[in-house]
Amino acid sequence: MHTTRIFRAALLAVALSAPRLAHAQLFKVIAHPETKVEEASAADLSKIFLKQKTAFADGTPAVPVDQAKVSTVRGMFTRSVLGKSVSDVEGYWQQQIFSGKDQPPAQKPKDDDVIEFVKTTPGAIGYVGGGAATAGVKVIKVK
Amino acid sequence: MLLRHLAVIAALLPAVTRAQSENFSFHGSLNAGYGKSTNLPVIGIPTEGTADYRIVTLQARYKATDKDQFVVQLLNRRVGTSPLRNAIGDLTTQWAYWQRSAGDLTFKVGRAPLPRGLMNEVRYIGTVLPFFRVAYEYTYDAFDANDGVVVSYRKGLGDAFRFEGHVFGGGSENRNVRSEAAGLSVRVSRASNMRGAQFYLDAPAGIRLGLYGDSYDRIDDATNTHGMRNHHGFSAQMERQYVTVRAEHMRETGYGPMSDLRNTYANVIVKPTETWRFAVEQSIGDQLVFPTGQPSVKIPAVRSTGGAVNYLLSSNTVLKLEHHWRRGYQFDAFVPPTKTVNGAAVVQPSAYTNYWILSAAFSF
Repeated sequence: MHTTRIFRAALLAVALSAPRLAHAQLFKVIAHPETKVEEASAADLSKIFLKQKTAFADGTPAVPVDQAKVSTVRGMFTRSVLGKSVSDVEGYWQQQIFSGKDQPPAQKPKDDDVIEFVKTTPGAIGYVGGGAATAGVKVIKVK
Repeated sequence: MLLRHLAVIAALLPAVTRAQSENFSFHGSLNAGYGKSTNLPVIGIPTEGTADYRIVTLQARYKATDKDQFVVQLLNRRVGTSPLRNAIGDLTTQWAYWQRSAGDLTFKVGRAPLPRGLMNEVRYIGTVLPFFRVAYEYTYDAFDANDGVVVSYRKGLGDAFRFEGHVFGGGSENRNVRSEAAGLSVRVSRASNMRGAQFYLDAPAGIRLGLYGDSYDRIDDATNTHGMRNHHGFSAQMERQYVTVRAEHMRETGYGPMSDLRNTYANVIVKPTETWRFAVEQSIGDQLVFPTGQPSVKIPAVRSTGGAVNYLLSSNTVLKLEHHWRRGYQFDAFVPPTKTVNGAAVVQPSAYTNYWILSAAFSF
């Protein structure tokens, strides 16, 4: 009986974690090549993309860049890293805008635009599809 | 009417989007609807129904430097048949302020958003509200801005907690309709020498706790008489992926004229999918009335229960249908709260109405 419960719990844990792992392979988090960050936790990335944290651990100001609301990679990144739906995040930004607190990160329509922005903007951090060529930017490992 | 507004905004959107640049940004919102009540007019909604019910905001922000910004937000409101309609300008400057950031501190000078509970600054933005408005008894038609200075401080407390504090000084405006012992009273007053603070603590699991307090001199617009008011309030919110639970309480005390109000609301928003949201809300308002020459009497001024269905056409376009059951003494028609019997004030029976609102909200 006890073993069966443990087995069921393990199955459930695998089932719940599978989409998260799969998502992690479907996008890459990228940063400006001179950024002194090799890896980041999902919690830290969430804070950076919601502008609740404005600098990396070494003190470099972080400049997050999002993809378009309708892009598939944004949906996967938002669910997987921020733990929210895109519409929830948009609601969060509407609250920030209309309460006079902050503006959302810049948005770029495609992977290539994100890569170009990250490559040329010190402190920039973004995400692209898992198959995107990332020459000239640093790929950050998501812990 | 509603479709015309939506069409105009939709037509303007591409031009506005093109005008966005690194230093300039423009945002706007529309919250418009049709409302109808059953027995009594309430919050501007008459028994015959009204479509003259909308809120439009337009915000322009200029980033002068990395630390300095100028923000202006214009506000257009139509409040149906509310007794307040003559006290509210069609087009007003809701905000006009300069903002300076310095590390964890932010200074706002001018007419700036007033941090006063969880939803005060976004009270007109329909796309972030589960109902047409924040519970009316909590906000009234008052305190949507501070003319003066707001200093804000935000600081992470380790990995999981975050502190946010605001202190402010200045003035504000207060417009409300109140059932007094003798009749319905439209009160328009100015909050002068206002000073106060709002503190928040963000905790894991999407929990946010708030504490608010203010004090000010109340100056009646019509009679230029002076009084005093204090507020203190508490807020709690838990925001998760599929559900948001929110509750707030505010108490007002003061004199000139005497006032003692206790207002509380709680709502639960269930988000089963990306497109559908379901909300319920309970709002409670208690008020002391002060019959001339007699002890004060406590009346259950408002008991309101609401339910709403939200359909998100997109993250910035929401259709809502809501229904409210409301009992008490606070309506747009006079419902006497007390009557003098043998020299003593006696609480009268409360009145009752239902009202519903079909609305569309849009923001960009």
